[in-house]
Amino acid sequence: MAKANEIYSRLSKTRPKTLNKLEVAHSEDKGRFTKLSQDLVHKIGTEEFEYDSEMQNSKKSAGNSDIESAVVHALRAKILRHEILARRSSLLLMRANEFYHSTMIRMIRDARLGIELDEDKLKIMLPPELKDVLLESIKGTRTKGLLEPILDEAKRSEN
Amino acid sequence: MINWILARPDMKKFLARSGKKQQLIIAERQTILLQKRDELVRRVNHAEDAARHISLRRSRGASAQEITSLRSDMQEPIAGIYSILNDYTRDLLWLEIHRALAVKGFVLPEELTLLREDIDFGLLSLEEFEGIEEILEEDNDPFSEIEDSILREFGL
Repeated sequence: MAKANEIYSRLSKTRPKTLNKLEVAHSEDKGRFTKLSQDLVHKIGTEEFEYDSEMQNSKKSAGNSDIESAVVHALRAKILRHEILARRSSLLLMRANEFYHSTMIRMIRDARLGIELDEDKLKIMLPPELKDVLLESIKGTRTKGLLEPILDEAKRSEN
Repeated sequence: MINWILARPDMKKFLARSGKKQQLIIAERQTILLQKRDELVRRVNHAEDAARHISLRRSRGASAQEITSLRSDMQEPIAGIYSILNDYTRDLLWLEIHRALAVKGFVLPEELTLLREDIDFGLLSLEEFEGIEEILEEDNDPFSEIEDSILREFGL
């Protein structure tokens, strides 16, 4: 965390007027990333709903021995899965930037008030939502077996 | 850590461009992406038409042999979907990432380690951008567990 100290040290030597300008700039940047992240979350939510719907339809078709329709719904689900995966990658970058600007704002405020940098506090600053996105992104790469329940249904109806 | 952004000359070049030029490049890529998506949807619809036809024939008492024969009609659109899907996904990932890069105030992921050294960027930690293809190919095949006999019928 030595580098965070370096940033803080630099900030603590900066004039208050410049710090104010810096804070405004980081606030504007953070606002942009927050807005874009929210838009992406909404889009991903819609796609996940559609994905669930396709999965259910695929399962239903397989249960009715309509394997061909089950395959078509599974294909649509697969496309949606790829789209969700790509958007989550972008969301990760947006959230990481939101976190960066947010942290900079806090450090600027601390520097202006002369509050010493607490490295432990900085360590726990990673917001839960970013942690969730990171986990989800990693989960997104593990899609093997995603459609296994449907395939089981398909196998059962074939027998 | 995500070092591929700096490692890729095209991304470095993109970051160096003006905001207006960046938006122009994104708009061009979006047009191409939408064309690919339209084609993808067209091929899925083609497969769906074939599936409906099989369902109709089955409801009218078609024999198992006939159904098996009709299933081969789905092979072409399914093969077509597979041939375009990874390409489409790679383009979409490119577009989504570049949309983020083009936001005013974007900070390179490398700089984030100044604040947190232990951020794990998961999928984005890929050394090569193209690595996405291998991941999608290996980990996202929903038909990997289907019996071989059924897979053969669909040409998969």
